[in-house]
Amino acid sequence: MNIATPYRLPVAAAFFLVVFASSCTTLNIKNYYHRHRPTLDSIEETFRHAWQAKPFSIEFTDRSFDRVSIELITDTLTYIYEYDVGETRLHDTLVKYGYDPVPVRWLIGRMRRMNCTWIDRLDYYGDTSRHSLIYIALWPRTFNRPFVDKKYYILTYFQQPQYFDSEGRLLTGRRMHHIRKINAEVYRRINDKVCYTISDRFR
Amino acid sequence: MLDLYIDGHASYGKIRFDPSPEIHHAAGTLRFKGILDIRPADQLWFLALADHFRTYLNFFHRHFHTGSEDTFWAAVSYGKFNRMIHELLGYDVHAKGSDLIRPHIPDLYGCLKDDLARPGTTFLYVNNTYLHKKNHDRYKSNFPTHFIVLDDIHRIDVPPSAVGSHVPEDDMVDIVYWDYGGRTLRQVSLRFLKKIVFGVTHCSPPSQNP
Repeated sequence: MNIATPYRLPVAAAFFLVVFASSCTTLNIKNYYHRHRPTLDSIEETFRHAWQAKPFSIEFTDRSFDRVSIELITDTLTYIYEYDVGETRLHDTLVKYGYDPVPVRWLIGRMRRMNCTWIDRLDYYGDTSRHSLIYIALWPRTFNRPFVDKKYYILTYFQQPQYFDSEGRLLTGRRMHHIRKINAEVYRRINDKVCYTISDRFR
Repeated sequence: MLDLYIDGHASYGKIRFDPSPEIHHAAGTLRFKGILDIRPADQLWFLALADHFRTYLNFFHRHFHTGSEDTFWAAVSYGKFNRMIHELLGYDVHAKGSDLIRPHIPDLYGCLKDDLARPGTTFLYVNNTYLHKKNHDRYKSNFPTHFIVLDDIHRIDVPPSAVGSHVPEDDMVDIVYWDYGGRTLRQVSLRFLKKIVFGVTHCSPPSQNP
Protein backbone atom coordinates (compact mmCIF):
# COMPACT_ATOMS: atom_id res chain seq x y z
CA MET A 1 0.00 0.00 0.00
CA ASN A 2 1.41 3.36 -1.02
CA ILE A 3 1.15 6.28 1.36
CA ALA A 4 0.14 9.47 -0.33
CA THR A 5 2.96 11.98 -0.52
CA PRO A 6 1.37 14.63 1.79
CA TYR A 7 1.06 12.01 4.54
CA ARG A 8 4.56 10.61 4.31
CA LEU A 9 6.14 13.24 6.53
CA PRO A 10 3.60 12.94 9.39
CA VAL A 11 3.73 9.15 9.22
CA ALA A 12 7.52 9.16 9.37
CA ALA A 13 7.45 11.68 12.21
CA ALA A 14 4.97 9.55 14.15
CA PHE A 15 7.11 6.47 13.62
CA PHE A 16 10.26 8.15 14.91
CA LEU A 17 8.31 9.61 17.83
CA VAL A 18 7.21 6.13 18.86
CA VAL A 19 10.76 4.79 18.48
CA PHE A 20 12.16 7.72 20.45
CA ALA A 21 9.56 7.38 23.17
CA SER A 22 10.10 3.66 23.58
CA SER A 23 13.88 4.06 23.66
CA CYS A 24 13.60 6.70 26.36
CA THR A 25 11.24 4.72 28.54
CA THR A 26 12.66 4.38 31.99
CA LEU A 27 11.33 3.04 35.22
CA ASN A 28 12.26 4.81 38.40
CA ILE A 29 14.38 2.20 40.10
CA LYS A 30 14.13 3.90 43.48
CA ASN A 31 10.32 3.79 43.35
CA TYR A 32 10.50 0.22 42.09
CA TYR A 33 12.70 -0.75 45.02
CA HIS A 34 10.50 0.94 47.62
CA ARG A 35 7.33 -0.55 46.10
CA HIS A 36 8.77 -4.07 46.16
CA ARG A 37 11.09 -3.66 49.11
CA PRO A 38 9.73 -6.47 51.31
CA THR A 39 10.07 -9.01 48.51
CA LEU A 40 13.46 -7.80 47.29
CA ASP A 41 14.87 -7.65 50.80
CA SER A 42 13.54 -11.12 51.60
CA ILE A 43 15.21 -12.47 48.45
CA GLU A 44 18.48 -10.90 49.53
CA GLU A 45 18.19 -12.15 53.10
CA THR A 46 17.23 -15.69 52.10
CA PHE A 47 20.05 -15.85 49.56
CA ARG A 48 22.58 -14.50 52.04
CA HIS A 49 21.71 -17.13 54.64
CA ALA A 50 21.57 -19.96 52.11
CA TRP A 51 24.86 -18.84 50.56
CA GLN A 52 26.56 -18.86 53.94
CA ALA A 53 25.51 -22.50 54.38
CA LYS A 54 26.85 -23.45 50.93
CA PRO A 55 27.82 -20.99 48.19
CA PHE A 56 25.81 -20.87 44.97
CA SER A 57 24.26 -18.49 42.46
CA ILE A 58 21.07 -18.57 40.39
CA GLU A 59 20.58 -17.28 36.86
CA PHE A 60 17.65 -17.29 34.47
CA THR A 61 19.06 -17.85 31.01
CA ASP A 62 16.06 -17.08 28.80
CA ARG A 63 13.64 -14.25 28.21
CA SER A 64 10.65 -16.17 29.46
CA PHE A 65 12.25 -17.09 32.81
CA ASP A 66 11.69 -20.80 32.16
CA ARG A 67 15.32 -21.98 32.14
CA VAL A 68 17.35 -21.68 35.30
CA SER A 69 21.08 -22.11 35.62
CA ILE A 70 22.57 -22.81 38.99
CA GLU A 71 26.21 -22.53 40.00
CA LEU A 72 27.21 -24.74 42.91
CA ILE A 73 30.49 -23.52 44.31
CA THR A 74 32.81 -25.89 46.14
CA ASP A 75 36.40 -25.47 47.28
CA THR A 76 37.81 -27.23 44.24
CA LEU A 77 35.24 -26.87 41.50
CA THR A 78 32.26 -24.78 40.44
CA TYR A 79 29.46 -26.89 38.96
CA ILE A 80 27.15 -25.20 36.46
CA TYR A 81 23.88 -26.93 35.57
CA GLU A 82 20.89 -25.67 33.61
CA TYR A 83 17.35 -26.98 33.98
CA ASP A 84 13.76 -26.14 33.23
CA VAL A 85 12.03 -24.54 36.19
CA GLY A 86 10.39 -27.27 38.26
CA GLU A 87 12.45 -30.09 36.78
CA THR A 88 13.09 -32.87 39.29
CA ARG A 89 16.76 -33.10 38.30
CA LEU A 90 17.33 -29.70 39.96
CA HIS A 91 16.16 -31.08 43.29
CA ASP A 92 18.28 -34.22 42.85
CA THR A 93 21.36 -32.17 42.00
CA LEU A 94 20.96 -29.95 45.05
CA VAL A 95 20.57 -32.94 47.34
CA LYS A 96 23.54 -34.70 45.74
CA TYR A 97 25.86 -31.78 46.48
CA GLY A 98 24.52 -31.24 50.00
CA TYR A 99 22.41 -28.12 49.40
CA ASP A 100 19.11 -27.45 51.14
CA PRO A 101 16.60 -27.42 48.26
CA VAL A 102 13.94 -25.47 50.17
CA PRO A 103 15.52 -21.98 50.12
CA VAL A 104 16.85 -22.50 46.59
CA ARG A 105 13.41 -23.44 45.27
CA TRP A 106 11.87 -20.53 47.18
CA LEU A 107 14.42 -18.17 45.64
CA ILE A 108 13.79 -19.48 42.12
CA GLY A 109 10.05 -18.91 42.56
CA ARG A 110 10.44 -15.38 43.94
CA MET A 111 13.09 -14.43 41.40
CA ARG A 112 10.82 -15.56 38.61
CA ARG A 113 7.92 -13.57 40.02
CA MET A 114 10.09 -10.45 40.35
CA ASN A 115 11.78 -10.89 36.95
CA CYS A 116 15.12 -11.22 38.70
CA THR A 117 17.56 -12.67 36.23
CA TRP A 118 20.62 -13.22 38.41
CA ILE A 119 21.60 -13.28 42.05
CA ASP A 120 25.09 -13.82 43.35
CA ARG A 121 27.50 -12.76 46.04
CA LEU A 122 30.33 -10.70 44.59
CA ASP A 123 33.67 -9.71 45.99
CA TYR A 124 34.97 -6.19 45.71
CA TYR A 125 38.23 -4.83 46.93
CA GLY A 126 39.38 -1.96 49.08
CA ASP A 127 42.99 -0.87 49.31
CA THR A 128 44.20 -4.16 50.71
CA SER A 129 41.13 -6.06 51.77
CA ARG A 130 38.26 -7.99 50.23
CA HIS A 131 34.61 -7.22 50.91
CA SER A 132 31.44 -8.76 49.60
CA LEU A 133 28.00 -7.69 48.45
CA ILE A 134 24.82 -9.33 47.25
CA TYR A 135 24.16 -8.54 43.60
CA ILE A 136 20.61 -8.74 42.23
CA ALA A 137 19.92 -8.15 38.53
CA LEU A 138 16.33 -7.36 37.58
CA TRP A 139 14.85 -7.43 34.12
CA PRO A 140 11.25 -6.22 34.46
CA ARG A 141 9.24 -7.05 31.37
CA THR A 142 7.80 -3.55 31.31
CA PHE A 143 11.35 -2.39 30.73
CA ASN A 144 11.95 -4.87 27.93
CA ARG A 145 11.37 -2.62 24.95
CA PRO A 146 13.11 -2.36 21.63
CA PHE A 147 15.93 0.15 21.20
CA VAL A 148 16.60 0.16 24.93
CA ASP A 149 20.26 -0.55 25.48
CA LYS A 150 20.53 -0.51 29.26
CA LYS A 151 17.73 -2.79 30.29
CA TYR A 152 18.84 -4.40 33.53
CA TYR A 153 18.30 -2.87 36.94
CA ILE A 154 21.09 -3.84 39.29
CA LEU A 155 20.67 -3.70 43.05
CA THR A 156 23.65 -4.16 45.33
CA TYR A 157 23.29 -4.92 49.02
CA PHE A 158 26.37 -4.05 51.05
CA GLN A 159 27.19 -5.40 54.48
CA GLN A 160 28.24 -2.01 55.84
CA PRO A 161 26.87 1.51 55.29
CA GLN A 162 28.60 3.10 52.31
CA TYR A 163 29.83 6.59 51.49
CA PHE A 164 28.36 8.73 48.72
CA ASP A 165 29.12 12.07 47.12
CA SER A 166 26.65 14.96 46.94
CA GLU A 167 25.10 13.48 43.79
CA GLY A 168 24.50 10.15 45.52
CA ARG A 169 27.26 8.27 43.70
CA LEU A 170 28.97 5.42 45.53
CA LEU A 171 32.47 6.27 46.75
CA THR A 172 35.40 4.04 47.57
CA GLY A 173 35.56 5.20 51.19
CA ARG A 174 35.20 8.03 53.64
CA ARG A 175 38.67 9.46 52.99
CA MET A 176 39.19 8.30 49.41
CA HIS A 177 36.79 10.40 47.39
CA HIS A 178 37.00 8.25 44.29
CA ILE A 179 33.84 6.99 42.66
CA ARG A 180 33.70 3.23 43.04
CA LYS A 181 32.86 1.14 40.00
CA ILE A 182 31.48 -2.38 40.15
CA ASN A 183 31.42 -4.27 36.86
CA ALA A 184 32.45 -1.00 35.21
CA GLU A 185 29.26 0.74 36.38
CA VAL A 186 28.79 3.70 38.72
CA TYR A 187 26.25 3.05 41.46
CA ARG A 188 23.86 5.44 43.16
CA ARG A 189 22.33 5.52 46.60
CA ILE A 190 18.95 4.10 47.54
CA ASN A 191 19.80 3.88 51.22
CA ASP A 192 23.02 3.52 53.20
CA LYS A 193 23.46 -0.14 52.29
CA VAL A 194 21.57 -0.51 49.02
CA CYS A 195 22.65 0.98 45.69
CA TYR A 196 21.43 0.72 42.13
CA THR A 197 22.50 1.16 38.58
CA ILE A 198 21.02 0.51 35.14
CA SER A 199 23.20 -1.59 32.89
CA ASP A 200 23.28 -3.28 29.50
CA ARG A 201 24.38 -6.53 31.12
CA PHE A 202 23.10 -8.39 34.11
CA ARG A 203 26.57 -9.37 35.40
CA MET B 1 59.43 -10.81 38.88
CA LEU B 2 61.72 -9.35 41.55
CA ASP B 3 64.07 -8.00 38.86
CA LEU B 4 61.09 -6.50 37.07
CA TYR B 5 59.84 -4.91 40.28
CA ILE B 6 63.21 -3.65 41.57
CA ASP B 7 65.14 -2.84 38.37
CA GLY B 8 62.26 -2.19 35.97
CA HIS B 9 63.53 -4.77 33.49
CA ALA B 10 64.16 -8.49 33.53
CA SER B 11 64.83 -11.58 31.43
CA TYR B 12 62.68 -14.69 31.20
CA GLY B 13 64.32 -17.39 29.09
CA LYS B 14 65.29 -15.70 25.85
CA ILE B 15 62.86 -12.84 26.37
CA ARG B 16 64.08 -9.48 27.59
CA PHE B 17 61.32 -7.45 29.27
CA ASP B 18 61.94 -3.73 29.25
CA PRO B 19 58.56 -2.09 29.95
CA SER B 20 57.97 1.54 29.04
CA PRO B 21 57.90 4.21 31.78
CA GLU B 22 54.10 4.35 31.45
CA ILE B 23 53.94 0.70 32.50
CA HIS B 24 56.16 1.40 35.50
CA HIS B 25 53.73 4.04 36.68
CA ALA B 26 50.57 2.05 35.97
CA ALA B 27 51.57 -1.32 37.45
CA GLY B 28 50.00 -1.65 40.87
CA THR B 29 47.62 1.27 40.41
CA LEU B 30 44.87 -0.39 38.32
CA ARG B 31 41.54 -0.24 40.10
CA PHE B 32 38.14 -1.91 39.83
CA LYS B 33 39.58 -4.94 38.01
CA GLY B 34 38.31 -7.50 40.50
CA ILE B 35 40.89 -9.61 42.25
CA LEU B 36 43.64 -7.78 40.32
CA ASP B 37 42.98 -4.81 42.62
CA ILE B 38 44.87 -6.51 45.42
CA ARG B 39 47.37 -8.38 43.26
CA PRO B 40 49.88 -5.75 42.18
CA ALA B 41 52.39 -8.38 41.06
CA ASP B 42 49.81 -9.78 38.64
CA GLN B 43 49.21 -6.28 37.34
CA LEU B 44 52.94 -5.85 36.75
CA TRP B 45 53.21 -9.20 34.95
CA PHE B 46 50.15 -8.73 32.73
CA LEU B 47 51.14 -5.20 31.74
CA ALA B 48 54.72 -6.27 31.01
CA LEU B 49 53.47 -9.12 28.82
CA ALA B 50 51.07 -6.87 26.92
CA ASP B 51 53.78 -4.25 26.48
CA HIS B 52 56.30 -6.75 25.12
CA PHE B 53 54.23 -8.99 22.86
CA ARG B 54 52.51 -7.17 20.04
CA THR B 55 50.09 -8.25 17.35
CA TYR B 56 48.05 -6.76 14.53
CA LEU B 57 45.46 -5.76 17.12
CA ASN B 58 47.99 -3.19 18.34
CA PHE B 59 47.92 -1.37 15.01
CA PHE B 60 45.81 1.47 16.42
CA HIS B 61 46.94 0.98 20.01
CA ARG B 62 50.71 0.97 19.94
CA HIS B 63 51.50 2.61 23.27
CA PHE B 64 50.08 2.32 26.76
CA HIS B 65 47.94 5.15 28.06
CA THR B 66 45.70 5.30 31.11
CA GLY B 67 42.83 2.94 30.44
CA SER B 68 44.66 1.02 27.69
CA GLU B 69 44.33 -2.16 29.71
CA ASP B 70 40.66 -2.21 28.65
CA THR B 71 41.39 -1.76 24.92
CA PHE B 72 42.91 -3.70 22.04
CA TRP B 73 46.32 -2.64 23.40
CA ALA B 74 46.05 -5.52 25.87
CA ALA B 75 44.20 -7.92 23.56
CA VAL B 76 45.71 -11.30 22.80
CA SER B 77 45.18 -12.79 19.36
CA TYR B 78 45.47 -16.51 18.78
CA GLY B 79 48.86 -16.16 17.11
CA LYS B 80 50.16 -13.98 19.93
CA PHE B 81 48.97 -16.44 22.55
CA ASN B 82 50.76 -19.37 20.88
CA ARG B 83 53.88 -17.27 20.33
CA MET B 84 53.95 -16.20 23.98
CA ILE B 85 53.85 -19.79 25.21
CA HIS B 86 56.49 -20.95 22.76
CA GLU B 87 58.90 -18.07 23.33
CA LEU B 88 58.46 -17.78 27.09
CA LEU B 89 58.41 -21.44 28.04
CA GLY B 90 60.02 -23.12 25.06
CA TYR B 91 57.01 -25.43 24.82
CA ASP B 92 56.15 -27.28 21.66
CA VAL B 93 52.87 -25.71 20.52
CA HIS B 94 50.34 -27.46 18.26
CA ALA B 95 47.54 -25.08 17.33
CA LYS B 96 44.38 -25.42 15.25
CA GLY B 97 42.24 -22.34 14.78
CA SER B 98 42.25 -18.64 14.06
CA ASP B 99 40.85 -15.32 15.26
CA LEU B 100 37.91 -15.22 12.86
CA ILE B 101 37.12 -18.67 11.50
CA ARG B 102 36.39 -21.77 13.53
CA PRO B 103 38.69 -24.70 12.85
CA HIS B 104 37.32 -27.63 10.89
CA ILE B 105 37.53 -30.47 13.42
CA PRO B 106 34.95 -33.14 12.46
CA ASP B 107 35.40 -35.10 15.69
CA LEU B 108 35.94 -32.37 18.26
CA TYR B 109 35.31 -34.70 21.18
CA GLY B 110 37.87 -37.24 19.95
CA CYS B 111 40.38 -34.50 19.18
CA LEU B 112 40.10 -33.01 22.68
CA LYS B 113 40.23 -36.44 24.29
CA ASP B 114 43.45 -37.21 22.37
CA ASP B 115 44.99 -33.90 23.39
CA LEU B 116 44.13 -34.46 27.05
CA ALA B 117 45.64 -37.93 26.96
CA ARG B 118 49.00 -36.54 25.83
CA PRO B 119 51.44 -34.91 28.27
CA GLY B 120 51.07 -31.15 28.45
CA THR B 121 48.28 -28.58 28.63
CA THR B 122 45.30 -28.04 26.34
CA PHE B 123 43.91 -24.55 25.81
CA LEU B 124 40.63 -23.62 24.15
CA TYR B 125 40.15 -20.26 22.46
CA VAL B 126 36.44 -19.57 22.99
CA ASN B 127 33.70 -17.04 22.52
CA ASN B 128 32.93 -16.33 26.14
CA THR B 129 29.75 -14.36 25.44
CA TYR B 130 28.01 -17.72 25.05
CA LEU B 131 29.85 -19.58 27.80
CA HIS B 132 29.49 -16.80 30.37
CA LYS B 133 26.35 -15.00 29.27
CA LYS B 134 26.06 -11.38 30.34
CA ASN B 135 22.84 -10.36 28.62
CA HIS B 136 19.86 -11.89 26.85
CA ASP B 137 20.50 -10.37 23.44
CA ARG B 138 19.54 -12.67 20.61
CA TYR B 139 22.46 -11.54 18.48
CA LYS B 140 25.93 -11.90 19.92
CA SER B 141 29.31 -11.15 18.44
CA ASN B 142 30.79 -14.15 16.72
CA PHE B 143 34.39 -13.73 17.79
CA PRO B 144 36.59 -15.50 20.29
CA THR B 145 37.25 -13.59 23.48
CA HIS B 146 38.90 -15.82 26.08
CA PHE B 147 41.44 -18.59 26.58
CA ILE B 148 40.58 -21.39 28.99
CA VAL B 149 42.55 -24.43 30.10
CA LEU B 150 40.69 -27.65 29.37
CA ASP B 151 41.14 -30.15 32.22
CA ASP B 152 38.71 -32.86 31.23
CA ILE B 153 35.89 -33.76 28.88
CA HIS B 154 33.59 -36.75 28.99
CA ARG B 155 30.24 -37.75 27.56
CA ILE B 156 27.26 -37.94 29.88
CA ASP B 157 23.89 -39.66 29.75
CA VAL B 158 21.05 -37.17 29.85
CA PRO B 159 17.38 -38.07 29.32
CA PRO B 160 16.31 -36.88 25.85
CA SER B 161 13.37 -35.05 27.41
CA ALA B 162 15.82 -32.99 29.42
CA VAL B 163 17.79 -31.59 26.51
CA GLY B 164 15.18 -31.41 23.79
CA SER B 165 14.69 -33.47 20.69
CA HIS B 166 17.16 -31.40 18.65
CA VAL B 167 20.15 -32.66 20.66
CA PRO B 168 21.22 -36.27 20.17
CA GLU B 169 21.43 -38.28 23.37
CA ASP B 170 25.18 -38.82 23.07
CA ASP B 171 25.82 -35.17 22.29
CA MET B 172 26.05 -33.88 25.87
CA VAL B 173 29.42 -33.60 27.55
CA ASP B 174 30.85 -32.43 30.83
CA ILE B 175 33.80 -30.10 30.37
CA VAL B 176 36.09 -29.15 33.22
CA TYR B 177 38.09 -26.01 32.57
CA TRP B 178 40.16 -23.44 34.39
CA ASP B 179 40.06 -19.72 33.89
CA TYR B 180 41.40 -16.91 36.02
CA GLY B 181 38.52 -17.45 38.45
CA GLY B 182 39.01 -21.14 39.18
CA ARG B 183 38.00 -24.56 37.90
CA THR B 184 34.50 -25.09 36.55
CA LEU B 185 32.52 -28.14 35.48
CA ARG B 186 29.81 -27.43 32.97
CA GLN B 187 27.37 -29.51 30.94
CA VAL B 188 27.23 -28.45 27.30
CA SER B 189 26.26 -30.05 24.03
CA LEU B 190 29.00 -30.79 21.52
CA ARG B 191 27.12 -28.61 19.06
CA PHE B 192 27.41 -25.70 21.49
CA LEU B 193 31.09 -26.46 22.08
CA LYS B 194 31.80 -26.45 18.34
CA LYS B 195 30.02 -23.14 18.09
CA ILE B 196 32.16 -21.39 20.69
CA VAL B 197 35.60 -22.95 20.03
CA PHE B 198 37.81 -20.96 17.67
CA GLY B 199 41.08 -22.61 18.55
CA VAL B 200 42.57 -25.68 20.20
CA THR B 201 46.16 -25.40 21.37
CA HIS B 202 48.13 -28.22 22.89
CA CYS B 203 51.42 -27.31 24.58
CA SER B 204 53.95 -29.85 25.74
CA PRO B 205 57.21 -29.26 27.59
CA PRO B 206 60.34 -29.72 25.48
CA SER B 207 61.54 -32.73 27.46
CA GLN B 208 58.28 -34.58 26.83
CA ASN B 209 58.31 -34.15 23.08
CA PRO B 210 58.84 -37.44 21.23
